[in-house]
Amino acid sequence: MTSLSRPSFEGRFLKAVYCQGEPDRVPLVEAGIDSQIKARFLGRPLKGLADEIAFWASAGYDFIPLESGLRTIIDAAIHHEKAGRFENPELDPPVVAAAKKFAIDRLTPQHLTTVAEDGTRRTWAPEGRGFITTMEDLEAFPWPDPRDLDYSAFRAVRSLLPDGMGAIPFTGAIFSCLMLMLGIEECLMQMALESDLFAALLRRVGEFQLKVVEITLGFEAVGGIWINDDMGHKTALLASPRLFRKHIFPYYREIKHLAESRGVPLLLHSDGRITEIVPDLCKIGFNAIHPIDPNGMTLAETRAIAGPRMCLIGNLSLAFPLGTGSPEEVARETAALLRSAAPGGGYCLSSGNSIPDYVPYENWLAMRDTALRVGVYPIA
Amino acid sequence: MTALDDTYSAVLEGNAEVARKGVEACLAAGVIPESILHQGLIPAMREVGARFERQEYYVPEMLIAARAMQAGLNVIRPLLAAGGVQAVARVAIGTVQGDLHDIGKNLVAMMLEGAGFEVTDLGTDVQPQKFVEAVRSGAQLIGISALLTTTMTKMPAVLEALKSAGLRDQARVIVGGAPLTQEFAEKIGADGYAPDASQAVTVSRSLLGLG
Repeated sequence: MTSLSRPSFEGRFLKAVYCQGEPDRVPLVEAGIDSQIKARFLGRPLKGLADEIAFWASAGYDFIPLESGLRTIIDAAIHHEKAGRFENPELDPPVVAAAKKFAIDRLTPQHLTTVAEDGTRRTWAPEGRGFITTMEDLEAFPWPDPRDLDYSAFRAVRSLLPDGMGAIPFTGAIFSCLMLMLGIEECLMQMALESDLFAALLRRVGEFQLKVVEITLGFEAVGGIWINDDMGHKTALLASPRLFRKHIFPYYREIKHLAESRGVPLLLHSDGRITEIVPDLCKIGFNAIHPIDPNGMTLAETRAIAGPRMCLIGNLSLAFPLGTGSPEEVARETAALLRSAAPGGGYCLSSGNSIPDYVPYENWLAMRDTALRVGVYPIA
Repeated sequence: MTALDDTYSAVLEGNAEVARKGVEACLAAGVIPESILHQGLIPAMREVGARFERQEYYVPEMLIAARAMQAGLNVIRPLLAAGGVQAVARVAIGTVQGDLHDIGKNLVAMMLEGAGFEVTDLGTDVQPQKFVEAVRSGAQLIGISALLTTTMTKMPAVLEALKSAGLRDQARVIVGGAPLTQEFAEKIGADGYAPDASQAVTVSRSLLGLG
């Protein structure tokens, strides 16, 4: 393993995120990678946190993405599982198990699952109505204490991380929690109407998530906060920027304050075209935006709006080249992206969303290999 | 302000109750249903689309306006049918097989209905044969939606099914969804592509020679 393929959270990733010039090479970042791809690269099925870390570190990434907060409950319910990505269902205290059961039971009648010809099952988020749609639901939901969630991965990760490797959790999500709890369409309507239900749920979610962020930041290994809130669709924001400014961004400001107090960066993941609120994100103090969704955003336009102090992460299209191109096309597009976006620093390579099961292994590998080869500064 | 103006404003503001009452007031004032549709409801939804494209309206405002339009339309729908008033064109729309994404397709359906089209919503996870049957039943335009890269690759199967059934020339095909592009639409042989619900109306009208 050369120094360029070894993890370097501070020297490489944080230098890019804080826009402090060019590190040794362009950092690789992903919000998530399909488990089959990880297993194939590692040469064995991933059986726990140590294997996860082994994959991310050996593949050239500088940090492992972890997860904490309400999304671990909601995502488990949507995927009809007892636990989230890194959680141990055996460790769920009764109130967390009850919250998951509440959501699963209410989503089950409309549980959205498709099975492809090859047997691949896919679960889909509730788009119409979620599992909290009335004030009565809100009160009936067995809200756990944020301290009751499973933080075992955060406790274990420090001793498992190899030198130079960091950990960043997806946590602090506000808007996506509301969308998934209410249902996407219902949430957008309640938000536009600024209903009492929306206000009450927002308050509960916001308070809960702030406490989770505070707890999460208490773990020494945590090197950043990554908020996972999809706010855009293909051509615009899902709702008026006025509503985001009024209802969601005040929580982001509090999370920024918490992250800043701990001296770690704040990152945002949002699908869709969120160009209209990029100036707001700069003012709030986000250090990086991911994934500059190529379905609706360009790096050039985003850079022009965000200025030189916002790190941009992503923009390699999941459709073409990653999903439907050849490895050669992936390599060509990746190289072109690196040459246009990375000079000067302030950029990390990532797909335009994540690496799901329909990205061929060879295509992910072509992106990763090209980044390690072409992404070395100075970029020719 | 006439009742027609009230109806127009109510749709724009997304007030379903006022829109319904506005249509009823129009009828009481002797305005014929076709005029209510073409001078009240359709222009209002056209303005909703324009505001959406100017980013003055977002998804919720479009949804609320569409529901108001439907409240008004429900009052005159039986009268239009009884009077033999024809829709602008017949459309069948659905999410491609293997895909359960709903919102984008629903928005397009609502906007097309608001533009005077007769819309059959085939739902989600729609098998190619369902689109074929829709064309056999008279659909002049097929709309296919996909959320994911992996499901958009199922779109060519719909076009193939139409060809195999000898119906490809009888309907135009428009595609849309997050991962889609104009290039992809052309590559698979679709007739049109629209990036959002508002532009889907413009493209659909153009494909059908409606200006």
